[in-house]
Amino acid sequence: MSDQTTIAFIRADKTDKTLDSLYSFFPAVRKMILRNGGTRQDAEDIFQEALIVFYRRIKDPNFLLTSKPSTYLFSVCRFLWKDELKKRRLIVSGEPEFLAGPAEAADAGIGEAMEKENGARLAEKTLTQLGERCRELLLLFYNRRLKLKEIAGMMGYTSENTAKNQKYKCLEGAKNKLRELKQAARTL
Amino acid sequence: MRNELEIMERIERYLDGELSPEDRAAFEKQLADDPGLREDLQLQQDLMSGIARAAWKDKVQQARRRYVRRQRFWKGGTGGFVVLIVVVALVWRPWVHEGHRKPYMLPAAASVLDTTHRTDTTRKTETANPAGRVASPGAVGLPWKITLPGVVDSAGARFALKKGQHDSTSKKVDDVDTHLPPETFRIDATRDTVVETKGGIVFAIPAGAFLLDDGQAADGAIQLLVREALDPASIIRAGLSTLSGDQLLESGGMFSVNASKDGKALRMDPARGVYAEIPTDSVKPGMQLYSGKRLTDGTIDWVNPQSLEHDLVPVDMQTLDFYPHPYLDSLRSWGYNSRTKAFTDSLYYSFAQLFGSDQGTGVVTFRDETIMPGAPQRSDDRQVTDTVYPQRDSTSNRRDLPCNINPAKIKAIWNKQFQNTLLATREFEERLRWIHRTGNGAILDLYVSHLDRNLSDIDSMAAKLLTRQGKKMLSEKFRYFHDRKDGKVRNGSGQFQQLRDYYQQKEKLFTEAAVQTEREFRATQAEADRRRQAHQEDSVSRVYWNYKQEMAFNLSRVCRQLGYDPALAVRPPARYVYRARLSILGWCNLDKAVGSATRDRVTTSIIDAQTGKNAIISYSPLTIQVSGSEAYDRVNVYLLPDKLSSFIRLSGDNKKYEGKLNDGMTYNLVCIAYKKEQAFYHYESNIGAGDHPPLMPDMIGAAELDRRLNLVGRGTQAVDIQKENDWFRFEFTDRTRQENWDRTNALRCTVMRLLFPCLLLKERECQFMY
Repeated sequence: MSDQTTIAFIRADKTDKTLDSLYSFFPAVRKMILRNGGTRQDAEDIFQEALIVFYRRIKDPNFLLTSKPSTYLFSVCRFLWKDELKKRRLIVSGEPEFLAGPAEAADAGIGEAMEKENGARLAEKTLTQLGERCRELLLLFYNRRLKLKEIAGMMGYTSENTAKNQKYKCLEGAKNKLRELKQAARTL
Repeated sequence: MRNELEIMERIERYLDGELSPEDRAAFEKQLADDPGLREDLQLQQDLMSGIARAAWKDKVQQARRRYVRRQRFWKGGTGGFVVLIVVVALVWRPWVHEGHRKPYMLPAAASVLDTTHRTDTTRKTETANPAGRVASPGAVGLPWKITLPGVVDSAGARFALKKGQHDSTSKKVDDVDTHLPPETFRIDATRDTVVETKGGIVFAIPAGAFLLDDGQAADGAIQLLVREALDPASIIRAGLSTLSGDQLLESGGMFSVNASKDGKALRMDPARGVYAEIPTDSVKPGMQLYSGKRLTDGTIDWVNPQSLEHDLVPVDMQTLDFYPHPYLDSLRSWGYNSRTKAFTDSLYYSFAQLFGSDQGTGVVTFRDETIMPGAPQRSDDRQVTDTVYPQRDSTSNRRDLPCNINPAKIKAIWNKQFQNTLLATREFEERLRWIHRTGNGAILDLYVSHLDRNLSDIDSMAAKLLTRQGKKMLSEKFRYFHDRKDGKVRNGSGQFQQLRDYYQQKEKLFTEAAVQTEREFRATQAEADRRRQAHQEDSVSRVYWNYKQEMAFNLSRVCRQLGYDPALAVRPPARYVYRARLSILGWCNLDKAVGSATRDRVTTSIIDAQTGKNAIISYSPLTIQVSGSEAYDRVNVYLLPDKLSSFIRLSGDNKKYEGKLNDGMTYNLVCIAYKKEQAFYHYESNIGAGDHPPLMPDMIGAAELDRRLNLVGRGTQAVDIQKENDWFRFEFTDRTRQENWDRTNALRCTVMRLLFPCLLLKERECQFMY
């Protein structure tokens, strides 16, 4: 898949094809991480996280990609891995090309984007803590963008309004949980 | 409550841009004033992000699964695929870490297919199976044979099908087809293809997998029809039975695959076959493959269970982890780079020295163990031990503590000789972790000795051996491995005997090499220790003899001053005569006085009580500085008195050196400084007392320095000072070695405690061992 196609597809939400094509870069990333103190599992996790960040950045209208998607993806991976190493406080004698070189070279805004992603990550956690029905409802509404009427039918609510109220209740529950989590994270 | 909901609705509409400009402005003003509202907004935004992220993550993971599948298919296939059942219900265990699926390869004989051709319908004919059993002729056939692995589940089968539930008329047969609508795939028969059904079954179809009637491989576009019944509801709806005789089976799922080209049914090439992966949620050991036999009454009976055997997929050995379990993780947690294989290998393999039979070196070893009865006999005479028992003292024979197996064994297998054998598989990697824990090298030997067997067979041998040794829990573990029915590596290396020999040889070799290295290690350290010891003794001795000689000298001067014949009294003692006793007659008082003057190097006046004469021993202070002394690694300042046979080393920190000169002697000064290995030298003859301007030693080569030192001083002074110089040179180069030694020691000892707890090493014992 050519670079322009990749970007276009991402922006058009044609995710599956682009993901498959991007996954071909996984071996290179894995090599880098293995060479610099990581495990295979680390490589998987970092790559997945990088794809999410990558997606976000590409979709951000303020972001201008100045290099090839593969290069950028790789640099995101490197950035994430360096960050992770810092967190783990690992002393690693890795490759000089990895250790040297500013992590943010490819993207000045990535630090900030990561910050935002942390919020999203926490929020994702709260979702898993919600009940099944709440989660289902929220995902149907926000991800699959179904109309409340359809959702009401699918989930067995008596009316559209009931569904709406339920949605907000679930949202509120999630908000409260998220607030708690954020508090907890701050005190750590 | 209502209010909150309204607020949330407003926030949502704001985020979606659905507020009118006035409302929007009003809201933003509210935001500016109310921090609580701001927080709400942020939380909601985060939630939206989180939801999007969850969906996105899901997609990424799906993509990952597809990727892994692609990799496994193309890399895992070894030669041709074995013919597969067309309709097969299989179960396998999901891979522990990654959730990947293990492919099953079914032996050709197990595939069965009915050939039917119904003329009473307009349906297309379905494929025929070339090999294996065919249903009884004349049976109104279903287009597939169902084979089910199953266990008799008396606790309540999932499908409570009763016998005779089936309507044996062909009408029911039609129902089956109608209840299970097929999925159609169009593929190019000349290319390797991977298709995935709605239910998640993945078929890997190699090129040329299907044959026309005449036996030629089909080419061009062909059509695949897949029906699947992977959940109980579908199976029941389809009217499929799960009975074998009158036993109820538990199904892992059923499906059928048929291929056709231009309307004509195709057969499967028995040499190639199609490879299938079916998703499952749970492991069910004991699954078997049943062949479906169509009875005359139209029902299907499940017969002929065969154990499933699946091939192992060899991987590159270098990607496997053969270390005992806590090794890499511990290294990492202690801050070492666990990724450098050279480092982790050398550290781990060095412990092979613990298994050497060498007893006399003081190296801690394990007592030789006689071969356990029933363990595989070794043809060579055994120099190395298999199992570890601590040697320390017989009372502390802690057999209950685990000890890992000889690292030399691991080294012998962890190399390219064993690529493409069952050792180079993830399945074996898993077992090896447990083999380490058994602490019994004989278990590993079992695997290496039987590379031509199925992994599951070796597992059961291991389990038996462990039971005989009374290790119940470990035996259970290997029995559990056995139940997985892992097979062999297809088309793997056939050099079984050679590999066996290689392994035995290498194990011996590596163990001995490790012992040797250990010996050399210690020898070097011992040598360094000896030299250090020698130098210290020399220094002490030198100081002592200096004192004696100076004392004698002073005494004789005093004698002269007081008018006595010094020859009577004094003879400078010979340096290298042991047990020489100074015999100074009749001068006890003087002795004491002179002795203390010499020792303290202070100017002393001695009055002879008898004659009233006066004698003086005088000392004058000397201060030496070396310019730029901070830059040097080592600075030594020596005085070479003409009346003593050795030198005096002045003490002082790098900056100032102080000494006392005996007025009766002449002193030459030598200064040797080192910056790393570069020497600097300064010489002054006849140095006087007092402060001196800072010395500036000149660079000098090692050989030149030796030559100069030969010339200075008299008698043994040259020899002594050279010896001293040699020592400092050695000490410097040895320092790095010493530091490395100390550092490695600490690490080695810690790792040894980790991997070989049966040694009962205490932390401080690590010092004593080395």
